[in-house]
Amino acid sequence: MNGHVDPTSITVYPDGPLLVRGSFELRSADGRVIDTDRNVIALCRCGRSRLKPLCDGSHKSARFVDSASADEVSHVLQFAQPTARGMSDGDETEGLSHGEA
Amino acid sequence: MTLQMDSNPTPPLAAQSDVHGGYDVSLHDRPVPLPAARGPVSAALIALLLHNPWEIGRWEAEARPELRWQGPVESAILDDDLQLALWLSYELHYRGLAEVSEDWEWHPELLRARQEWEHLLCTSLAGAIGAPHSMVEPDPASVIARLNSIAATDDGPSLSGVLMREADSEQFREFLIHRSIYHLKEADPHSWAIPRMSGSVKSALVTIQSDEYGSGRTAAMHAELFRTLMRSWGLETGYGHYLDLVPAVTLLSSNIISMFGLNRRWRGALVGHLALFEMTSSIPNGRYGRGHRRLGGDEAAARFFDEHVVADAMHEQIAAHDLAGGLAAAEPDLAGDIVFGARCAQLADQQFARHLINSWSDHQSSLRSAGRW
Ligand code: FES
Ligand SMILES: [Fe+2]
Ligand SMILES: [Fe+2]
Repeated sequence: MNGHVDPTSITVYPDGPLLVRGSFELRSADGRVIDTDRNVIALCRCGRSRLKPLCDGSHKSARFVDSASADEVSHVLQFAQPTARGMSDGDETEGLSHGEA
Repeated sequence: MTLQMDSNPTPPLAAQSDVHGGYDVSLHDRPVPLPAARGPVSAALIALLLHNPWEIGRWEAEARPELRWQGPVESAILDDDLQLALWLSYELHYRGLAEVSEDWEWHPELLRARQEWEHLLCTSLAGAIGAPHSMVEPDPASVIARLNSIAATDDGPSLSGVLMREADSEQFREFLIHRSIYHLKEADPHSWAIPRMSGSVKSALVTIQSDEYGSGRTAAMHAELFRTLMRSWGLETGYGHYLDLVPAVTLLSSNIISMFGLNRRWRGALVGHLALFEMTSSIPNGRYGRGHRRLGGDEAAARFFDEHVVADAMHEQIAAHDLAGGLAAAEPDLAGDIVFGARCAQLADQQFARHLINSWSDHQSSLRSAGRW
């Protein structure tokens, strides 16, 4: 907001939601701006929240797993491919099977 | 409600009026009325507090014998007499005690006795859950993993499940009475951590606390949301009003945080305690909210629960990663204390749940009958 120089940030939390901090505007797809007075919001990443798009903590009972380490996130952004998890270097199918329960 | 210039020396209306020269003071908490004693130590403490602290005679090198608690250390966590004495001594730092001199707050005579009580409490806690050191590897990832695993263990009985599905209105009211001891000062004990933190750890803490305090909107303060909720259930909303009715196990949860909060040495435990609070809040609050609605609770008053579902889903991440993880990175020596604080929060919560569920399954009230000791 006014006088704020920090960029708006989106933090990907392991096995949990995305947190949006800083100045943001929440919109629906038709462009309407949705009013909120929250300074920080947690957006569901697991799909199981009853309060979507907000996180309601259901990711735990859903056993959502995604470590979202900096390496993984940047790998995904760079190669549009999940990382191969089980250290089996180069095995493509290993990468595709990512996403345990 | 204008000022009356009559000759009455004690204007009762002015003290109760909501508006003083334009300021709304209706929500300003008053000092807690002194409760009934629950044993020899709390009786001696209450008697002492009624004196002028600077006229009690010579101070001795040791705590006054009548303020020494004599029970077996393992029973300290659930002893009514000791927990009430601790609670009263801490309350001097919050809203104060009615009829008690404010000079008692830092009086050496009181602090000396309290130090012994705190030592008993710590020993008793460590006896129940293990000592802080060697609880975890001193790095952020291990601390966060431990917190997650503590939050995920639910070997205790599920109070939120009972409240959601089967508790009756009377039991729901009892639950709120217990919780009022903490929620009417919700977030205050953890605020003691603010001046002890700095940098990103402090901003993480302040992000959470700012929500707890309604981001500057009085009606949105969590303590005020709770007051509204209590009122909707026909309960008294005065701060500390139900003190005589709540058992040791309820006082214990407050005392643990106050002890961590008032001793800088326990700042790690205070942070761990807050982290566990936040990490185990969204789902139970969703259930409390469903229980409240099942029993026909007021829709607007449900906001206390609804707000906690949403806010704490966010607080959980900040508390575990930015706050607890951040503190473990900044002060690795505190890693064990962080986990200890989380375990203490869990222990108090489990004991509390067990007490309510056991009382109710015996068709008893979970409240004290406020009898004499
Ligand atoms: S990420 Fe929390 S409920 Fe989906
Ligand atoms: Fe809260
Ligand atoms: Fe919270």
